[in-house]
Amino acid sequence: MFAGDGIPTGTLNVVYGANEAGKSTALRAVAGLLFGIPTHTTDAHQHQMSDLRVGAVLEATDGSRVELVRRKGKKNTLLDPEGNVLDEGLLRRICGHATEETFRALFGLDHESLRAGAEALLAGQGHVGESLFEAALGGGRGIHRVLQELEGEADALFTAKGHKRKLHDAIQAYTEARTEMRLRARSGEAWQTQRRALEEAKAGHERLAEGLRARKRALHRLERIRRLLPLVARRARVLERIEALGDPVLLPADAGKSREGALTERQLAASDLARLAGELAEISARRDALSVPAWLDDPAVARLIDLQDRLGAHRKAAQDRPGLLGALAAHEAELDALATRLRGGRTAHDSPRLALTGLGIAARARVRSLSLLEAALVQRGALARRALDDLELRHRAMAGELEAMPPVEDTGPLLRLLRRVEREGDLEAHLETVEKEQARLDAELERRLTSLGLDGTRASDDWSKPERLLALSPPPAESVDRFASELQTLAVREERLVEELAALHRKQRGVDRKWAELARAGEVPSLATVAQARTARADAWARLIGAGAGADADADADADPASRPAERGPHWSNRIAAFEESVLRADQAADRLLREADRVASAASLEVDRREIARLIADAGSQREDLGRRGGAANLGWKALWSGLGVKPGSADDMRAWLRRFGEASELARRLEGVSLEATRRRDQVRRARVELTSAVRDLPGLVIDPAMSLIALCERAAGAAQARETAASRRAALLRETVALAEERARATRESADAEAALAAWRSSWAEAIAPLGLASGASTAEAEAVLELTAALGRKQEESAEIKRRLQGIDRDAAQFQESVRGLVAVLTPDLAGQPEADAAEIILQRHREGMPARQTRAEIDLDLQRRRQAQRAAESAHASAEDRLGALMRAARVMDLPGLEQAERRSAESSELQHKLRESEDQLVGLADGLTLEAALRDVAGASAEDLDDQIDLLREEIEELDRDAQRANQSIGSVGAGLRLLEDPGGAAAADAAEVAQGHLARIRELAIEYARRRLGVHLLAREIERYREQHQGPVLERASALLARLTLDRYVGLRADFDDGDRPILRCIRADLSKVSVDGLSDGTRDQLYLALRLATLERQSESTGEPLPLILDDILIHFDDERAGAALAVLAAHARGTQVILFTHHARIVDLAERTISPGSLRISRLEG
Amino acid sequence: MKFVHASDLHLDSPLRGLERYEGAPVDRVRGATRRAFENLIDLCLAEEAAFLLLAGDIFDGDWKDYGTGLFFLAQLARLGKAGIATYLVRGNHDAASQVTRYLPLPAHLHELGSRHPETRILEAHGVAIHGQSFATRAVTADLAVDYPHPVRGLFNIGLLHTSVDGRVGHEPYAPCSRAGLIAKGYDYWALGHVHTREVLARDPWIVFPGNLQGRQAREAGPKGATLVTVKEGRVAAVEARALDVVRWMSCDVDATSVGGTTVDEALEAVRVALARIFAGCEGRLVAAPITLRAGALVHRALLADPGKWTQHLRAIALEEAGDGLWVERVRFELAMPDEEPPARWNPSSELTVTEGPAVDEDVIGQFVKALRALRADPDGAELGGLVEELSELRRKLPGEVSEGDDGLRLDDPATLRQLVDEAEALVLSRLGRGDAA
Repeated sequence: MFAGDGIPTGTLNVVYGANEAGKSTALRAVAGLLFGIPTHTTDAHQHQMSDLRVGAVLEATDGSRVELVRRKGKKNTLLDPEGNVLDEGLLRRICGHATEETFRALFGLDHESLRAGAEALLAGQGHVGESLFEAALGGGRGIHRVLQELEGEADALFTAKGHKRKLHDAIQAYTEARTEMRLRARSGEAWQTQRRALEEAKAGHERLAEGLRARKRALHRLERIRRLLPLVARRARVLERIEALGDPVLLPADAGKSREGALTERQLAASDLARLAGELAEISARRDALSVPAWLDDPAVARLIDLQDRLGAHRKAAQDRPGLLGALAAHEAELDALATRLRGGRTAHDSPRLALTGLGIAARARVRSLSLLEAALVQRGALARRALDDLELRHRAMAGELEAMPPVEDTGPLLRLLRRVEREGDLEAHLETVEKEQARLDAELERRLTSLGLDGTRASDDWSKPERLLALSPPPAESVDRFASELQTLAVREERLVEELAALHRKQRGVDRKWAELARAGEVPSLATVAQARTARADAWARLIGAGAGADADADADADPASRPAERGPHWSNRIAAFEESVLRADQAADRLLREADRVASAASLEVDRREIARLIADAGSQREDLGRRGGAANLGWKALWSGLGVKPGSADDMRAWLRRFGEASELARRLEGVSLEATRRRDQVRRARVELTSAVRDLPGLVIDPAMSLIALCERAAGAAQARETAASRRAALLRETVALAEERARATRESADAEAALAAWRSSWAEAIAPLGLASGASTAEAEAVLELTAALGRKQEESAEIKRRLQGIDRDAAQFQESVRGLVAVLTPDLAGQPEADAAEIILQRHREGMPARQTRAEIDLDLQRRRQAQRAAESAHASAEDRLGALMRAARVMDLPGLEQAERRSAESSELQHKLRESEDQLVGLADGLTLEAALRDVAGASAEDLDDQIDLLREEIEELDRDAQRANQSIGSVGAGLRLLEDPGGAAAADAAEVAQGHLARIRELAIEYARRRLGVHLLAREIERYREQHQGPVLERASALLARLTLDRYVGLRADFDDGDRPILRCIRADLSKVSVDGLSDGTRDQLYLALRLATLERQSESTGEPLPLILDDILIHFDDERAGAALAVLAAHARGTQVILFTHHARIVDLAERTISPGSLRISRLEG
Repeated sequence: MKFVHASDLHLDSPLRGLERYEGAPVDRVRGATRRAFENLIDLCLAEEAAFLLLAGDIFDGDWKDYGTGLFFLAQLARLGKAGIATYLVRGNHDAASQVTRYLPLPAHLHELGSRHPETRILEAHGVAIHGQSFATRAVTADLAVDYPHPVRGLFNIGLLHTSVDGRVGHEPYAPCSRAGLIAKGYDYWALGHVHTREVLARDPWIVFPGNLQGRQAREAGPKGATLVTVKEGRVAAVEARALDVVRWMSCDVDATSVGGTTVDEALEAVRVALARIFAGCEGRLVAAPITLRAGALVHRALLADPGKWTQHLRAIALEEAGDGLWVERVRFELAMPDEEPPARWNPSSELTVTEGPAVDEDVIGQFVKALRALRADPDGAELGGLVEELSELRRKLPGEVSEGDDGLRLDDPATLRQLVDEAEALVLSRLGRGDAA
C-alpha cells in the first residue's frame, strides 16, 4: 500500500543501510507521515524544523491512490501536494483509528520486541492463552508480568487469610476507634443515678451534722457549769466574812500613812525651833562688835573708781605738753621754707598755700599721663615715615623687573599631548616586546607545523599565515573516536576469532587423535554392522527355508530342520552351514555391540564432535572474512577522513595525538594572529605620537629636533622647554600680584604718617591746657612740670602734720579743766576737810582713805545676810508644826474617835472590809468572764444545784457520742466528694472524647473504603484480563496454532514440525512444540533462537488471521529481526516473510549485508526488492 | 423583633468520608458540629434575638454520649442568661435518642409535646408558636393537619419536623403538602429534617434552614441558620447565615475544558480550582472531594498509579491552603472524547476510502468491547460473577462501609460497573494501551 517507484507491493522489501545511512530515520518517517512528526524530533539536521516534510503516495487494494505530504507543526499538518490542508480523519480511518502506539505494537517489530515477546512466552511458561494473547497484543509487554504485578499489588492490600495487609490494619484501627467511642460515651441513665446518689448523700450528711451540732451545744453547757462550780463556792465564802464584819467606818486606804506622816512632821518642827533660837543670839552679838566710817556708805563713793584712772591720765598730759609745743614751732618753719622755694622768696604765711596745694589729683594725673604720651607719639611719627620710605624703594625695584620680563606663551596643548603620550607608557618598548613575541610565536608555529609532518615547503608557502592554518578543518574527535573504536572492535574480534580458530583446530586435532586411537584398537562395531549381520542371517534363513520346502514337502514342518541334515542333501547342508555361520556372525556382531558399547558411544560422540568442530571452523572462517571486509571498509573510511588535509593517517592513537598537536598549533596560530594585530596597533601608536610631538614643538624657539631621536628623548626635550616657559609665566604672575599688594601697603603707610602728625598736634594743645594751673608757660617742658608737682606735694604733707599737733594741745588743756572740776565736787561731799588743797593731791588723799575703810564694811554686810536667812528658817518650822496638829485632828474626826489609839483600831477594821469587797468583785468578774456571755444571775441560776461528779459523767457520755457522729459525718462527706467527682466527670460539657473517637473511626472507615476500592480494582482487573485471555484462546487457538505450526516448521527447517496445546501438571493449557521425531518440548526447553522463531510464528499467524477478518491490511515493518538467526533459519524466515508479503506490504530494514545476501540467494527475484540507503 | 430558626444540628455526629493522611488538618475537623452550634448561640446573642427555634434532630438517633446533651444545655444556658428562650420540637432522630431521655430541661427551654400539637404564646413579642414533637422515630402521619388555627392578632409560627411532600435523600417522615401548610394561615413555617436550605414559599414563608454543619460530601456548600426579622406583625427579612466551621465543597475539574493535555496541566487545573474554592470559604476549613476528568492519555497516566497522584493532589492542597483544606477523596474520570469531525476529503482525490482494520478486531479492542458488554448487561447476571471474586473482601469489611448514601456496596451493579470501568483503565494503562478506550 505504501508504494512508490522504490517499494513495490507484493514483494518482500528489504531496505539495507549501514549505520548512519538513515534507516532509523526512514522508519521514523513512516510513523511521522501517518501520525505526525514529533515536536522534539532529532531529524532536523539537514533542514530547518519548519521545513521538515514527509511525502507519500497511498494506494488502496483496489488501486486508487492519493498523494499526501506531512509537514512538521502543531495543527493542520496533513497537506496535499499543492499545500492544501487535508483532513486527518481519512488517514485515521485507513489506520483503523489506531494510534501510533497501537500501530507500532501491531505492525512494527524490531529485534528487541521479538526478544521481549519470546521472553514473555518463557515467563508465562508457554501458557496457551497468554502466549496467543501476547502475540496478538504485540509490543512485547509481557501479559504474564502485568497479571503478576496486579495480583501482587492486590495481595499487598488484602488477602483472605493474611493479617498484616494495609486493609487489615485499617479495619483493626477502625474497630479500636469504635471500641474507644463506646467506652468514652457517657450514658444519661448513669448520670441520673449518680445525681440521685449525690442528693441522698448530701441529705444524710446534713442529718448527721445537725445531731452533731446539738450534742456539741450540750457538751459546751456542761463544760461551762463544770468550770463555774468552784468560782461560785469561793464567792459564797467571801460573802460570809463580809456578813461577819458588820458595818465599820470606812477610811481612805492611806489613812494609816497620813496619821504616821503627821506625827513625824510635828516632832521635826519642834526640834528645829529650839536650835534656831540659839544661833540667832550668837550672830547678833558678833555684828554689834564691828566699826565702819559713815562716809563710806555715801553713794558718791562710787565715783572714786573713775577718779583713780583720770588721776593717772592727768599727770601724763601735764608731762607731754611742752614737747608738743616745740614740735609745732619746727613744722611752721619748714612750711615757710618750702613756700619760699616754690614762689621764690615769699613766705608761707604770705602766699595762698591752698592755691598751690589745692591743685586736684585729677589734674596732676593728667599732667603725668600727658607727659608719658609725648614720647610714644614722637616715636610713632618717626616709624611711619621710615616705613613709607622703604615701600617706595621696593616699588621702584619691582617695576624695573617687570619691564625686563619677556612676553607670555600658552604651553597647554603641548602639556596635554605629553600627558597623553605618557599615559600610553613606553610605546616603543611595548612595541619591541610585542614584536619579539610575534617573532617567537612565528618560529614556534613554524616548528610545530614541521613536527605535524606537513611538507616544509608547503609550510613556508601555504601554512605560514596563521589564518590559512585556521581555515583548515580537521576531522572531529568524535569521528576519529568512532573509527578508532570500530577499528579497535574489529581488531579485537579478529584476534578473538584467530584464537577461537586455533582452539578449534587444536580440538579438531584432538578428536582426530582419539579417532585414530579408537581405530587402532580395531573396527568399532556399529548398529549398521549388526543390522547387516542380521540381514545376512535373514537371507540365509530365507534361502534355507526355500531349499527345504522344495526337497522335503512331506517333512514335518514342525520338525527341527537342523535335526536331519543328511536327509536334505549337500545343498541343504551348505545352506544350513551358511545359516549357522550367519547366525553366529549376527550374534557375534550383537554381542560385540553389547560388549564394546563404550567404544561405540565414544565413536559416536567423536563423530558428533568432529562434525560440530568442522561447522564451527567454517563459521569462524566466514566470520573472519566478514571481519576482513568490514576492516577494509573501515580503513578506507579512515583514510578518506584525513584526505582533505593531505595527511597520511597513522594509527588511531597517533592520529589522536596528531589532532591534539594540530589543536595546539591552531591555538598558537590564533595567538600569533592576536599578537600580530597587537604589533600593528603598537606601531601605529608610536608613529602617531612622534608626528604629533614634532609638530607641537616645532615652533618653540631654541629647541632642536633630531629626527633620529627616540620618542622618549623627544618627550623629555619637549617637556623641558614647556617647563621653562611655565616657570617664567608663573614668576611674572607673582610679580604682578606683589606690585598690587605693595601699592595697597603704600597707601596704608601714608595714612599712618598723617595720623601720627595729627596726634602730636592734639597732644601739644592738651599739654598747654594741663600745665596752666601750675603757673607754667605753655612752652614748659614735661620735666619742669614734674618738678613743680613734687614741691607742691611736699608742702601739702607738712601742713597736715602741723594741724595734727595743734589738735592734740587743745585736747590736753580741756581734760585738765574737767579733772579739777570733778575733784572739787568730791571733796565738797566726802572730805570737806581737804577743801583748798590742789586737786591732784586732794584726789590722792581721798583714794587712800577709801582703801583703808573698806574691809570692815565688807564683814558687816556678810553678817547681815546670815541673820536674815536664819530668821526665815525659824518661821517655816513654826508653820509645819501647826499643820501637823491640824491633820491629826481631822483624822480622828473622820474615824469618829477621840484619841490616837482609837484612830489606829478604826483604821484596821476599815482595811479588812475593803479587802473582802475586792475579793467579792474579783470572783464575780471571773464568773461572768467564764460564763460564755451569760449574766451573773443567769450563770448562778445555771449552776445552782449542779454536782461535779454528775457533770463529769454526762460530759464523758456526750464526748463519746460526738466522736461517733463526727466519724459518720466524715464518711458521708467523702461519699459526697466521690459521687460529686463522678458526676462532674459526667457533666463536663467540654468533654468530647466519644465524639473525637467517632471522628477518628470515620477517618479509618474512609481509608478502608479507599483501600477496598483499590483492591477491588486490581482484583477485578486480574479477573477480567484472565477471562479475556481465556476467551481469546478459545476463539483463536485452533486456527492460529494451526497456522503457527506450519510457520514454525518452515522457520525451523522442519526441526520442529508443529505446535500443540497440551496440559501441564496443574492442568493449565500450555504450548508444546513437536520435534520431527514427534517428541514434545515445552517452551522452557527451547533454545533462545527457537523461542524467537516460535514468537515470530505466533505473531505472523495472528497478523494473518487479523487481516483475514479486516479490509485494508496495514504494512508490516520489521527492523533487523533476523540478526540472531543462523543463516539457514534466517533464509527460511526471509522465505516466510516473502510469502507473507503476498498478502500485505512487508518492509524489512537491516544493516547486515548478510541478510541482503541471504535474501538474494533465498528468494526469487520477482518476490524481492532490495533498496539501499546511502549515508 | 428578630428570631433565629435552625434545625438538624446532629450534635457530635462525626464528619464522614475524611480519610486521614499525612498533613490532613485533623485537629481542625474535631468537634465541628459543636463549634457550629456555638456559632449559632453567638448569632442569637449578637442579633439580640427574641427566641431561638430548633426544628428537630438536635442529636443523632444512635448517639449515646450524654455529654453531648450536657454540652447542648451548657450552650443554651448562655442564651438563658441573656433572656433568650428556646423552643424546640423533637425530630425522628431525637425521638430515638438516648441522650434526650434523661436531659433535664431548664426553664428557658421549651419542648413542645408529642401527643398533640401545643401552642406557646409569647405576649411580650406578640408571637404564637405551634408545634408537635415526634413521639417515635418513624412518624408517618401528617402532623400539620392537627396544628391549631392561628391566634388572631399574633404572629403565628409553625414549628415542624417534616419531609413535606418528599425530599430526595430524606426519609418521608411526617409528610404534608406545601398547599396544606399555606392553608393553615400561619405567618412562618419553621421546618426541619431536610439538610439542604430551601425556601418553599414566601407568603407565608415556609423555610428549611438546612443543617447547621455539613457532615459529608453530599452536604456541600454553606450551612447554617435562618435569621428572621419581624416588623409590625409581618416578616420583614429572611436571611441565611453561614455558621459552619468545615465546609464541604466539590472540586470538579475537567482538564480538557481548560486545554490540559498533560498530567502537569491537569494537576495545575486542580490547583487553580482548589485555590478558588478555598478563597471563597472565608477562612473555614474546606473538605473537598476532587473529581478530575481528563483526556484519554492523561487519564491513563493517572490511573496507572492513582495512589501516587492522589498524594500529589493532597500535596498541592497543602501548598495552596496549608491546613485549610482537606482533600476528602480523589476520583479520576475519563472526559468524554470529542466527536470525530466529519471527513473533509479533497474531492479531487481518486482514493477510494474504505474502512481500515476496525479497532474492535484488535485484541485490546475486543477486551474493551467485552467489558462494555459486561457493563451494559441489563440484568446484571454477568456482573454477579464478579461479586464472587470480591466475596472474601466483603466478608472482612465492616458493615458501616456499605452504609449511607455513598456506602460501598460491592454487590451493587452500579458499583460493579464503576469498578469494571476503573479496572479496565488500570489494565489498559499497564498494558500501555489506554488509548483504545
